Formats: sequence, structure tokens, C-alpha cells
Amino acid sequence: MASVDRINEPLMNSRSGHPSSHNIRAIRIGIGTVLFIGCWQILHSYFVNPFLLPSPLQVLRTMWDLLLSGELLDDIYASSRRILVGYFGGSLIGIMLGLLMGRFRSINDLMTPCLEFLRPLSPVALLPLVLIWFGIGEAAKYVLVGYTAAIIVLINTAFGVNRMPIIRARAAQCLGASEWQMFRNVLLPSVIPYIVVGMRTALGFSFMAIVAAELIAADSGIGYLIMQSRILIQVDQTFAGLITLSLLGAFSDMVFRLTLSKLTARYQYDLLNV
Amino acid sequence: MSASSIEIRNLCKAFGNSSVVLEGVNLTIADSEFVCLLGPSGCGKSTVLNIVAGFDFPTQGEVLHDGRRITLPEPRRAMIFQDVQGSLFGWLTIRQNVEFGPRMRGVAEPERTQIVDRYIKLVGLADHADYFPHQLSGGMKQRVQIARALANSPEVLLMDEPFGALDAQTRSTLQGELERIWRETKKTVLFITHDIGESIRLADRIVILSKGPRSHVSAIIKVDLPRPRAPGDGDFAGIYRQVEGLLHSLPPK
Repeated sequence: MASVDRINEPLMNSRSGHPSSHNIRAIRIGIGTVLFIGCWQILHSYFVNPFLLPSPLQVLRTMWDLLLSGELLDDIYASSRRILVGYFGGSLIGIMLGLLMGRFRSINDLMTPCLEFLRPLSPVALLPLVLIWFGIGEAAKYVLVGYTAAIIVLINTAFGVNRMPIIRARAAQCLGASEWQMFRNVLLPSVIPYIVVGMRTALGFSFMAIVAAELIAADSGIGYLIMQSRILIQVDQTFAGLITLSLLGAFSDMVFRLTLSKLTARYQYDLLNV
Repeated sequence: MSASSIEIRNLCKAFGNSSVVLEGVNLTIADSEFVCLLGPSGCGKSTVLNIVAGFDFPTQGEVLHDGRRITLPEPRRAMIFQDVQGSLFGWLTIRQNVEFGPRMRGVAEPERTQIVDRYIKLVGLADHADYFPHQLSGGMKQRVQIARALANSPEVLLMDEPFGALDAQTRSTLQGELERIWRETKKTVLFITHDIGESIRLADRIVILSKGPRSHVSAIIKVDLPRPRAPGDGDFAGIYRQVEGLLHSLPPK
């Protein structure tokens, strides 16, 4: 049995990677960043009307000004609040409905027509209706983001419930688990990886939904900032808004990975168990 | 250690209206007996086991556990599946997997740890109690499943080709271990396999099911070799030829 002690090692290695290959990757990513900004600068200087494409430095300066005036932070706060409320509310609804749908065939059948109807309808397509029903206030934004998150999380959760091997439920039955114990100790842990995937996807889509809403009907938020700059034809501010959006998206995904993904890491092991 | 008997009476199982898988299966398994169920693939071996476990219901006939009719899965009968990935709880450590049954039944703490320690040791995984299943080899995972079942002190072990997916060497080791554990714990075992050698090595009696559909018990062979057994022992080869002959001469339906 001496050999089994080494089982862990290859796993660790494949996760952290060989140190030198790690460095090479970092260097390549650095080169990629420089190339991206360089191309932008060259396009600005030689090929495109500079008014339509401001230089990277100009955009950076505009961002800095917006930051100092407090305008950018206000917009970030407005958008973030809408996303957080809508996203977590929607995710919670999606998880609960998804578990019910996955667990009970009858509920699944009853909800299928509704879900099939909603599935192809993007948040943008629903925006006019949401505005008519909920007005141009905050409620409409929460509903739109919430709807987006709920649908994605629901579909992933229900899929996860159906993916649980039937023999796992049977094993738990044999071991004496009651219906509730089965749900709490077997089904839920088996579905968590799918919920996490759904929530991570939903986070990205929540950004898309909120910007769409803010472009059309809002007096604050990053979408509003972008739309304002279009009306005033301040392309540097348009870019500042886009970059803020991109950074915010990357930041939230990073926070997601460091919190929710970390917290649920042991449930992901189940997917490695092949 | 308690153990108990299983009685299968005139068991019939049909799926839908047309396909009759089992027709009139009769078999009695005594206390602490090790019975191997052998038969060509598709003959309904797993269906028999699922009905004995309580996962599936007979179309006709009944299965009795200690004289009581089986209707639902119970902790008295533990199932050991071939697919360990599906069966084990991947988010729990080995210790937590083995602890699952006692925890569900509300066994209190000092006793629970003792039980878990005992069975983890019994299957030789004491050094790996805090590993997760994905860090173990297939054979070790199967040991975990056996320990998890035993920790719940079942009377009957139902095993559905548990070693079928393992390499020959690991399979042989685990057969030896299972035989030792069975002798120590005196459980009643119903073991499904399509491996003739495996059935001779393990079984008190080998029950052969006829080719499906409409399969039934076509022959029962008593294996009287002393234990522990190895393929070279006494009349091992003779029994092998006998079983093989019976399997191949099954009348085609």
C-alpha cells in the first residue's frame, strides 16, 4: 500500500502547473495585452478618424476625470446595486424552481410550456414589456435582471437534478435516508456544481440585461453613462463607460471565483470522480 | 452478528405488456449463505437483485426477507453497485462516506466514530480515511462502498457485479478480501456476476439463470471446496467445466 500515498501528487501538479510553464504563460498574456493596446494606438494614429477612436491615453484621462468628479462611482454604484439585488433574487427563485422541477416530474411537465415560451426571449426583447408593467424606476431593473438570472439558474439546476445518478439515490435509500435527508444530504450536494455553473453564467448575462435597461430608460448607471456620451458625441466617454463595464464584469467574475466557487470546491470533486 | 434469509417465490417480472424478463424464479437463500447468481447477459440478473433490494416490484410472486414481504428499500439490505462513481458521495471524505448510514439513522457520536473506524480498518483504508473518492483508485473506491454498506450493519449484502469494472489483479485481491470479510461478519450475500471463476471462488451455491426472456433458475451447483479458495484448488477446474457446460447448453428460447 506504499504506492497510494503518492496518489495526491499528480493531482497537485496538474493544478498548479510546472513553474516555468506558468511564467511562459504570464509572459504571453503580457505580450497579448501590449499588442491589444498597441493596435488600438496604431488604429487611432494612422487609420481611423481620431475623433471616432480616441487614443488609449485619452480614454484613461477621461476615466480619471469621471472618477474624480464622482460621476463614475455613482454610476457604478447604481448598476451594481441593480445587478446584486436582481441577480441574487433571481438566482434564489431559479434554484428553488429548478429543484422542484427536477425533483417532481409533474411540476416539470406543467412548467415546460412556459419555460419553452420564455427561453428564446432575450432580456432585451422583454424590456419594452417590463417598462410598461413596472415603469422606468428601479423595480423594472430588478425584474429584468432577476428574470435573466432566474431562467439561466433554473435550467442549470433542473439539469443538475436530472443528472444525479439514480443509483446514488438508491444507495442512500439503502443506507436508511428519509425523503428529507435524501434531499438535504444527497440531492442538494449533487446539484451544487450545476447551480454554481448556472450562477456564473447568469452573472455575465445580468450585466448584459442591466446595460440594456439603462441604455433605454434610466437616469443613472453605466448604461446611462454610455448613452449620454452618445447623445453628446463624446466618444472618449463612451469608451470610458465600456471599459468600466468590462472591468466590473471581470472583477465580479473574480469575486465569484474567490468566494462561491471556493466555498463549493468540495462539491466540484464529484465531477472529477470519473 | 445477525443475518437473515431471503426467499424468492415464483417471481415474475414484465416490462410493459410484451417483454417478460423473469418467469417463475424460485430461490431460497439461507442465513449467512453466499449465493452467486450467474447467467448470460440480458437474462434479468440485475432485475432480480433490484426487486430483492426493493427498488423494483414483481409483476407476480413475491420476495420475503425473514418471512416478511419486501416492498421498499431498507437498511437491512445493503446494495453494492458496480458504478462506484455514481454510488459514492464525491463531496464527502472516505470517513464521511462510511459514516453516512449511521449518521442518517442518528447513531450518537462516540459509538459512530468507533463503527466507522472499525469498518474503514476492515477494508484496509485506515490511511486514507480523509481522502476524497476521486483521489482513490477503482478498487479502493469499491472498498469504500463495501465499508459504507457494512457500517450500517445490514443483514443482507446485495452485490451487482461489484468487481466487473476492475482489472484482473485488483479483482482477485478484492475477491479474497470479500471472502475474508464475509467469514468475519457472516452476512447473507447475493452476488451477481458473469465471471464463472469468481462465482466458484466465492459462492456456497451457484445459481444459474436461463437465457432471457422468460428466464428462471435452470441449475443450482453446490460448491464444496474448502475456503479460502484459489483457481488451482481441488476440483476447481472440474466445477468450472461443469458450470460452463450448463451455461452454454441452456436451451435457446
